[in-house]
Amino acid sequence: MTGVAVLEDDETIRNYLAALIAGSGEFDLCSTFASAEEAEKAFECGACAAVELMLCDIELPGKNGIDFITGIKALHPGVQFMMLSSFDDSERVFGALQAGASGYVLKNTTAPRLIEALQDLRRGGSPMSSQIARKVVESFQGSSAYRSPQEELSLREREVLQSLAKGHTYKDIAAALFLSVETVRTHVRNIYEKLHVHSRSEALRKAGLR
Amino acid sequence: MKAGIPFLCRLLSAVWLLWMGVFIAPCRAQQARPPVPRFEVLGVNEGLSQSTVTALFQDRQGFIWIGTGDGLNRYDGQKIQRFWVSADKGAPPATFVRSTIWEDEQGGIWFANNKGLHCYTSDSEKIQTVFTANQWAGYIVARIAGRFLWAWHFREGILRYDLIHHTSRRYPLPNWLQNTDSGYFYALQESAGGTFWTKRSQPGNFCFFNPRQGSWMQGPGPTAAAAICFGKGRSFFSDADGFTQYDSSTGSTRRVAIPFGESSPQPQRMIADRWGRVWIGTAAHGLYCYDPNTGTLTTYRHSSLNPASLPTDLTTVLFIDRADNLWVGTDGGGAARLDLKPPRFGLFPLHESDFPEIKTFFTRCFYEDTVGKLWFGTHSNGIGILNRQTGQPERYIQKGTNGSPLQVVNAIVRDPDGNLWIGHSRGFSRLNPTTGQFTDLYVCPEPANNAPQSYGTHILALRDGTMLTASRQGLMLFQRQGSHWRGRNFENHPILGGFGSSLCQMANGTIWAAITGKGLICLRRSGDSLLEEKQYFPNVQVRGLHCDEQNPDLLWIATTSGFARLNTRSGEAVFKGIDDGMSNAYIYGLLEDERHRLWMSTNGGLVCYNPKGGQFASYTYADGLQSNEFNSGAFYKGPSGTLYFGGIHGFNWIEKGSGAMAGVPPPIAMSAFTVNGRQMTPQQDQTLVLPYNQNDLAFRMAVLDYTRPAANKMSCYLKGWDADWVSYNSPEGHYVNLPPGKYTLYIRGSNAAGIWSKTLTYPICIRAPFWKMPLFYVVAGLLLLAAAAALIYAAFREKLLRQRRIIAQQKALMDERTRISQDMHDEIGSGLTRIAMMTEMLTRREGEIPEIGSIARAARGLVQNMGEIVWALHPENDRLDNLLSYLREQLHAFIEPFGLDYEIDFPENIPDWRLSNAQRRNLYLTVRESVNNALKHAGATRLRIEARIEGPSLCFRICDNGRGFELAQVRAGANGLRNMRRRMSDIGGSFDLASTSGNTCISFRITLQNARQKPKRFRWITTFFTRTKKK
Repeated sequence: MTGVAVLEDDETIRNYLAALIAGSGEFDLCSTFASAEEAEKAFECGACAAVELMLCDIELPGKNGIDFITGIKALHPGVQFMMLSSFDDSERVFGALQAGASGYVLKNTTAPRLIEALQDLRRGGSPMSSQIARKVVESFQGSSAYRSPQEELSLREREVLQSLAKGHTYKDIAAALFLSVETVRTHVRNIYEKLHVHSRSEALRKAGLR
Repeated sequence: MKAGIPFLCRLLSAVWLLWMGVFIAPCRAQQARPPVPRFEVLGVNEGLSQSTVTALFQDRQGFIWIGTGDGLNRYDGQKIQRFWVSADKGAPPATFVRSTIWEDEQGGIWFANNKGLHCYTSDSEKIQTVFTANQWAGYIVARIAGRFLWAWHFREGILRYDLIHHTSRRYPLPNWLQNTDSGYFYALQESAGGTFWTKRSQPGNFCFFNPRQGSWMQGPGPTAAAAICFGKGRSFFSDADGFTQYDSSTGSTRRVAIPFGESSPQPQRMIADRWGRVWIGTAAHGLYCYDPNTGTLTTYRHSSLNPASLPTDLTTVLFIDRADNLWVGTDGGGAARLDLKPPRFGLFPLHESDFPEIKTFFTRCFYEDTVGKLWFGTHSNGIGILNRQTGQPERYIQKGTNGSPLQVVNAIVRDPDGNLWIGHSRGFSRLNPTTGQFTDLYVCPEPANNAPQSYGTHILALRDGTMLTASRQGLMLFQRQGSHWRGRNFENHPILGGFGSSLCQMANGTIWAAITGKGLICLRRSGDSLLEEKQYFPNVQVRGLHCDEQNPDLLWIATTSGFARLNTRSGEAVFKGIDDGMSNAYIYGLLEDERHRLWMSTNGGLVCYNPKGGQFASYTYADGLQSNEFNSGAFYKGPSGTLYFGGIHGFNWIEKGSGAMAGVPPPIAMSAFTVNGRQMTPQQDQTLVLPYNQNDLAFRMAVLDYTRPAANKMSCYLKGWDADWVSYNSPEGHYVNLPPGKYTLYIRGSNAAGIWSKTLTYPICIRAPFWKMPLFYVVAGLLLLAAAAALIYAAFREKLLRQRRIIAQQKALMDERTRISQDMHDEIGSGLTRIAMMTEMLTRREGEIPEIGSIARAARGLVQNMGEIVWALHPENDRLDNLLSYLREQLHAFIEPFGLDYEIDFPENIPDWRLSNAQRRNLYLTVRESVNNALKHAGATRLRIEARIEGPSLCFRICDNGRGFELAQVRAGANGLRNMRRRMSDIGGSFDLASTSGNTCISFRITLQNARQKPKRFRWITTFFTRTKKK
């Protein structure tokens, strides 16, 4: 049973998600939060030690979801974050991904789909949409010369990323690159990790600390 | 000074040596020849201010200053400039120059008169009164030299005044001078050594003042001398009856008497020239010249018969300039100039008026005998005999045989016996020079027509002892027969009977005769006779013949149109005439000097030709010739090497060795220099800077040699304008409208002897006006360029700004639209999400209810649509590859649930085309609609979505294997076909449908890349401007 937390300011949606998760059978709802501050406090207290996955809304009163993720991810790197987005707003989602989220899900998806998304997340991160993938490619292209090996994409990863950017499914990619879907998924997970590292490094470099 | 006081003489000579420090130059080896007595007058008619000359002076530069009774004159050889003292208001000007003229250190010219001491400065070009008479009352100014002025007062002594520092020093008179009651200094004269001589009374003792030591010394006395002059090792004291000469080396004295006349005052001035001659100017008796070497006294007086004589006998001052010309100032005649230099040519007679009994000096022939006498044949006075030493004729032989009159003498030649053969108007006679006895040899018959021609014309003593004569009757050959001579006539010979005009015999024995009308005949002695060998130049009028002294084969021929050199061996002849540079080509006679130059007498003077260089030098009357016209046959080279040429007014001779005379270069100066009419004094080697509009230069230069100023040549060269030296006939130069630039003016000149002066350099710089300077052009050009660039820039900017504004407007519009959409989507989207979620919750609680399911599906569908709309509106998604990626993704998600076999075939290499909002939306929706049809209505099992790039177009083909469309449906345009068609036409694309059962294909295409391209040419400009704008 994987521990899941929900951060959503809209009460209706929060209740819905909570009910959904609790009734899934695989996931354990640890807690729900209405604001980022509440969630932070809970994490500090250690009340959320069992949380493995966390659903976050981006638009929050007070601190927004992206900043929240930035802060918590540093302290609890093991927690995977999934963004809740009204629709496919690549800008904001990408920002959250750079901050440390590993996936996103549309609020209006069907219940089964939602559970599936959580499962995906547990396995290695949500599938990237082509728009997101594009943004990732751009992010990796236009940065400074110095890159540590942790942020450098391998050849395979780059291939996978390019294919994702073109809109191919995991199945297509697996078929085209003679890999299994699981391998592709792993690659995607690695890409997310590297994206997090890369983004952090970029930010530090820009601040002149690297 | 009486000759009987030897002690005093010795003392005197010692004193002279001590005080004078006379430089005893070595005497000249040959005594100076007397000058040609031709005076050049500079009087009021020539521009002098007044005809009474009171002072003469030559300044440092070389100008001659003439002080007159009315003004000071400056002469430069060409022009006289007159100066008067600037008049004070009210007071009459003091124009009388009453003293010597002096020059001070700075070049100021001083003179004194009863009004005071005046000075002319070249800076101001005016004379100013420096000291009025009152300041120097009682003083006589003795000398101004350097910066000191020496003035003598009969009581106060000598004052030395420093003109620059204005200090003075006094030298009081010694006691023995104070007591004299005469308030005058007589005969105040400065010696060559710098001491002053003077006397307090007349007669009286001389005393000397040495300015260097400031001491006085008493001299011997009393003497009656009134004037002193110092010459080479001699001094002269003049008195009423003559003068006494003292030789300082020997201490001897000599007295020379000059009968000045009882009523005449004592001589005014005395001056000694370079050759030791002393010139004495008297107040009313003209000019005297005494040559101490020969002891001769020559008188020069005015003669109305001789225009070249002294203008008047009243002389005032004497002066010798640095080119050895004597200037004689007169009272009423201006200044007369005499060239003292030994004349180049001997001249006889010096004055035709010296021999009033001789009516004409037409000379026809010469003979120089062994005792130094020159025999010359005249036109109407027989034979004249000239004493070469004295230059005076001794006698004339005017009677020939038996007392018959001897008038025209054409030839005098010595025969082997020592007698002289005379060719005259009646024929030929023989004269015994010692006895004076004439014997007729041949008498010509009377001429048929009364032609006044001379008859016996030429005589030649042949080498074999015979004599050849030429006359109007032809040639005659005379041979000895005992004590007589027998002549052989060639009267009837066609050639030899002609009128012979010149004879000569060459080294090889051939005889050449010029026969009038026949040309030049070459003859040979044969037996008793002459044989004619060859005839040359039958059409040439030969006047004279000369055998070349160096080359025995060459014969020089003088003709009336030039001269020729004939090589008798080869027969080759070279003619030279006017075209070769001769001044006059009517040649009478040809002679060769010791330097193998040819001297020719012509109708225009004498010409000297140098065969080595081919140059001609001309000499005319002004050089001392008897006149410009010479005579045929009157040319002769004496045994001593002297060349004689005879002419219509006498004859000249050239002594052997009197070739070119060395001389000093003459001084040259800039007489006047004006810029735009304004006088300026440019300094040598100092650049004269003028503005651009002061570009009219006029100047006058002068060669300050007064020997023969008319022959002075002047030449100038303006570097930067003239290509080379320009020789002017006039000394004035004028350059107008000189363009701005750097110039250098060089001037130089030569004197009558052909010696060139040094070159004077005057650098001139004419500044260009600022609008002509290159800098100005550069700056103007740059300014124009900048202005043009600014204009272009402004124009472009305007255009760009306009474009930008349009784009900005469009963008603003688009942004507004996007924002509106975005806001709507946010609001609506979140609402729809909520609806969907609500229905989920309801479903969970109430179970599956189809209506609720529909609501949920509808809501989700709407959110999906909104997502697509947002995607299409996002400006980032305007690329073709973005569309295809998104399409692929969406299609995967869309088709997958249907579970059929599908293939999405999009090209690998997608061109970087941009799509507008409308384009991508419509394309996306059309594809979606087509796929929707295939999935939902066709019942297909296989689906293929293909995209292709064909040229500039994008094509989509969606094929399925379903039922397809029925014709009726197609026509009706149902099932969204109408929408699809409309969508494609909206964006300018095409739509096609091909449907059969089992294979339906919808294809549509759009041309995205068209030929409309902005001209690449100017893209860089816009890029430049946009970049600058971005800053």
